[in-house]
Amino acid sequence: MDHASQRAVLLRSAAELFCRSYRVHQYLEKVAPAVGTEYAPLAKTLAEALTEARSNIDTLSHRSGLPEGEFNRQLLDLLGRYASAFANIHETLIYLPSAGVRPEAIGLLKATFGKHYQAVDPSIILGSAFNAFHFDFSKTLGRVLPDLKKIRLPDQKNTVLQNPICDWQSPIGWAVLAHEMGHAIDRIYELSRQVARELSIDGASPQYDWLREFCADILASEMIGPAAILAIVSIEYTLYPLRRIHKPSERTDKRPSHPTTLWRLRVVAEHLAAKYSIDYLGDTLDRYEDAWNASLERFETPENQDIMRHVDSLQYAICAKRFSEAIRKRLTSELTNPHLIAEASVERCLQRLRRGDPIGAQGRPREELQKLITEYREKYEGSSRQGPEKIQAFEKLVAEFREAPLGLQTLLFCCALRRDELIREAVDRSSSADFPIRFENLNESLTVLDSRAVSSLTGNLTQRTL
Amino acid sequence: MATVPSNQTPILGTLLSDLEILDRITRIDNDSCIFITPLIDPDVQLGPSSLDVRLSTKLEVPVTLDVTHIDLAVRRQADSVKARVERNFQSRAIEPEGRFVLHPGEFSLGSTLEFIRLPCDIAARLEGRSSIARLGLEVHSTAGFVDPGYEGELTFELKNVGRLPVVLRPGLRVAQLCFFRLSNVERPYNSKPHQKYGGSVGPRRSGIDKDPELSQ
Repeated sequence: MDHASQRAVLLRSAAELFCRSYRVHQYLEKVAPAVGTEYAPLAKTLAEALTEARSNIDTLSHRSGLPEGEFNRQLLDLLGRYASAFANIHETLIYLPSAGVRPEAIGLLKATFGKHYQAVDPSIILGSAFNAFHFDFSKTLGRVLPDLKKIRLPDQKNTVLQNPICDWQSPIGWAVLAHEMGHAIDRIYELSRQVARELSIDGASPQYDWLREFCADILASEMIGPAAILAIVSIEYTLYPLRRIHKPSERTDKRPSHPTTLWRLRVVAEHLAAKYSIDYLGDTLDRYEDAWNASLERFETPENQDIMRHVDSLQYAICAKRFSEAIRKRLTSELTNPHLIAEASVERCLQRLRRGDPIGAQGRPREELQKLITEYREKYEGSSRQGPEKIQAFEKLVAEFREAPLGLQTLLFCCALRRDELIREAVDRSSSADFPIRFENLNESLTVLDSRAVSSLTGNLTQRTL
Repeated sequence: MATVPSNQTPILGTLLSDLEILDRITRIDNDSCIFITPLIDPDVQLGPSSLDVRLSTKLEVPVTLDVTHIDLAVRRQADSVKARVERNFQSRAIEPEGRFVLHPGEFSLGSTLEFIRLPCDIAARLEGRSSIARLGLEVHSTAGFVDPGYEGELTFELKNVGRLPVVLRPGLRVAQLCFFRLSNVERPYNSKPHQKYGGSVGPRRSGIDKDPELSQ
């Protein structure tokens, strides 16, 4: 991979990291003062720590004349430290009162998961770990309070879904909760267990962990569309400098093994293509493959790289592809959601978002409505008679202006696409010298996009209740 | 005021009729289009020369526990004024299917469900709906005028001046917009220095601290 391509991957990661840090700054400005002056010094300290952690990256951009390879090496090193600082500072947000999940996030899951949401009945919280989780709270409590099991009510539901605090105002970030809901639904319907029995997968093996992740991803993509996996990719890019994304993660006491995000992206892309004959994720896959290759080249010798590419390809065919086909066969109508993401609709939504307009509802195209107005005018304008015919014709015209709520899969997908567009534009235009400034401007654009996404979702969900 | 067909030279300050409002909504040229979304029920919302707008889910509720006053008589104390304004309000979000109560004498900031963008030759006026006003609910005291070039959700200054609590819900039609055509302004709202509320999503607290008189 050439230096320019390597740099593009690193700048993509930097853009995500800068964005999330900016959100933490906004959180500190908003939450701490709102609660009381007693949190102000803490918030100030955290904000300063975050700014300080970034300052070395800004310094790098001032060093002109560095060879490309050396720039990339230094940038990776500094991004690694910044990502580590960011993740640790994010964890310390636990010391501040939480803003609480926005009702729109809950409304989004209710509207997309329907009866499954009622069946799971989760508590949704903002957490200080920079990740999304789902867990059974009673089990977690039971580990520290063993006697609790004796008094636990038999029908008690304790599913908790956690979203990272920094994404509290970003509907595009909320989409990751769909993956966690996918896990909760899988537990109820035992989809992964059935597939494991069918394919003789050992329940104690990492492959079983991977199967469960693919189940959750596929279920999320059915309910909320491609936005769920795109939210996961965004989190991966943020911590990219700290991870070896070319390998599955290790299993730990607290966390099962996860397949590579590249596999997960491919699985979801192939699932949506197989079921709905649409390619939503081609571009994202291509660029994430670059990131995967860059990681491989960074950590493995040239001899190992070829071997690992070959092994990865084989493992994908034997595990991921086979598992996802088995999952797809077992998806009943209860676990699927017809995808109504039409290409023409996506293009209209993107045009609106590029203008800074929300996209919660969509009606007939303006050109068509203009035609109807012209026809009405030709027939009735200038006529002073307000007869029933004219009034009926006008009412018919007015009714054509009604906007219907946009499908939530489309809404989130288009917002995610626009986010990706903005980041790509900023990365493509950035040089070694000016990327920090460009990414500050990018942060403002992404903040506006998030606010338009919230406006879209609020309008959409409210309209559904009327 | 007489309405003017779209192919004639615009007259200063002409109130747009129902058909003219629809025409402006469908303009292909974004610079002359009145953008408003979501348009949920145009046959109910569109009046002869106005368009009803609805209440959103977000509120800013005054909290007076530990703020003694807001002093607008000081100069060069913008930070202090801003801090007091911030402490004086608390953000609340109502679920889309939820409700909230405005008791007699109570005041809150709300916002339109609709996101609006006005071109440079259109101004708007926000008025309460008379059916709502006759129950004692005011939606604005002074902030009724919307400048050409404004974009965002409009803020309501909700006040119950009646004798009974009023229960409100997101999606309720509480106000109406009238649109006025004028000659193109030289400095639309979004280009104005010290502009405070452009691009708003949700109700905006007072930006009085940005007034030049307080910051200079």
